[in-house]
Amino acid sequence: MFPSGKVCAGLGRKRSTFRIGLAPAEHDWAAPNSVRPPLGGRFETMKTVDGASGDDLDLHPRADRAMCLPRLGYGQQGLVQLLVARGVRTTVAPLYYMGHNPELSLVPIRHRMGSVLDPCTQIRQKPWVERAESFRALPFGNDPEPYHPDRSRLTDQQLLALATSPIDAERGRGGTLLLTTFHVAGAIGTRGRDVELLLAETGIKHFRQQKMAEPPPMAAVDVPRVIYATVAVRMSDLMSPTARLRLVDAYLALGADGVWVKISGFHEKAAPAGIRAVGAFFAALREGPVPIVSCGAGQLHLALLADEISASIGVAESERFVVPATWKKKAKDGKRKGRTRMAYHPRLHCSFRVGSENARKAFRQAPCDCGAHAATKPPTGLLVAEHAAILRADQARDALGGDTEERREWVLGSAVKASLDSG
Amino acid sequence: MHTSIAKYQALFEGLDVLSDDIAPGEQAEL
Repeated sequence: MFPSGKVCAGLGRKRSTFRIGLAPAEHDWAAPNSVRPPLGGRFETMKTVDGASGDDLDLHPRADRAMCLPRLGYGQQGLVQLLVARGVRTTVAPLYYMGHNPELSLVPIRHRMGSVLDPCTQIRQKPWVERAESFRALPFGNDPEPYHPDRSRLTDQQLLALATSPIDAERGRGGTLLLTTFHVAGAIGTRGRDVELLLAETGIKHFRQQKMAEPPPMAAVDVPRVIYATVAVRMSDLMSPTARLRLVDAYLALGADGVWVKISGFHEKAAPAGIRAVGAFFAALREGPVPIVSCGAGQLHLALLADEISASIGVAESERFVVPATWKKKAKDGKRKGRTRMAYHPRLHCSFRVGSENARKAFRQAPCDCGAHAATKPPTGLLVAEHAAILRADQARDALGGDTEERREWVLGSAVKASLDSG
Repeated sequence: MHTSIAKYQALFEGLDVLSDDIAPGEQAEL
């Protein structure tokens, strides 16, 4: 299957069995993934309103089963059926889109779907004028000053509201996998990270106290809910082994149902040393008892899936998580540029900006077989999202098939082929 | 070598790091 044995070196190394000191007592940390009781154990015993089987409700990632969670953009609700047909069980969408695009959280009648409504609270770190109106309309999105993790003042009441209102809003819009409030902050020991941990801890307590895990009887969305602690960090803050492990210890100790990881700067364009460091961060995180989801890792999501780490990636846009920055994308006439949409090419393992010469060249040189558009031309218009959804879902399914060694071989082998195809 | 191969390999190397170990190329911290 794999064209060369050279790049397979080291694939057989076993995972460590270390224990983290702050672990919740009820988890068996030493148990390998294959024998750990799945997080979804609750799902099997939960009664459902109309006799749904446990499988119908087993929609979220588990520690022993990775999943791909496509992130839908504006107007992409039409892709849900297509994704369901390709095995997707849970989708992601920004919570603040719900105001003007509530259809994103609708679920097909014949299939239960998990839904993650990302509160995108890192946008609070942007100047008010640069936040979308729909984000400012949220109870936590209208602060006049940008939030600075190390400097912004928060009263107890403000902290409580900031920790709980995003979770309440996610639940109210039909979210089933809820995310805690987060901002991009520094390492453990900084004021910003202390506040982040407090926000996450408070949010998780709120979720438990309100008994949000179980949907109310006869609810339209009767999928059991879970709460994930969200950690947002710069890749540069993960370069030190000590810093990595302290962050892992702190977030696993929160006792959430999972950890949702957003790493700014972590994608296929990053330096290998940084990618290696982030890999070690994920390696330590997955020693815990709960599922880990990487969000916005660009093309690297494929390798994470192959290594049994769940991943979320945008469909034709928002492929990478970025630190909130002043909006600089302006055209020559001074107006803001529109969304940048990307045409993914699975044979080349690359995304190309729609409309660019590089995209035209790539598709001419290596025709696409998704069937949604002309094979030798990049997709345009509405077909851009359909093309991306088909390919991302199909490729994720390939990455998730077989054992870990086979998966790694598949990823590296298809990358070798990409290098040949791209000349 | 195609860029993505090197990046995938770097990620796999990191994922193989033991938790009390350091990633390849990193300096031990005293």
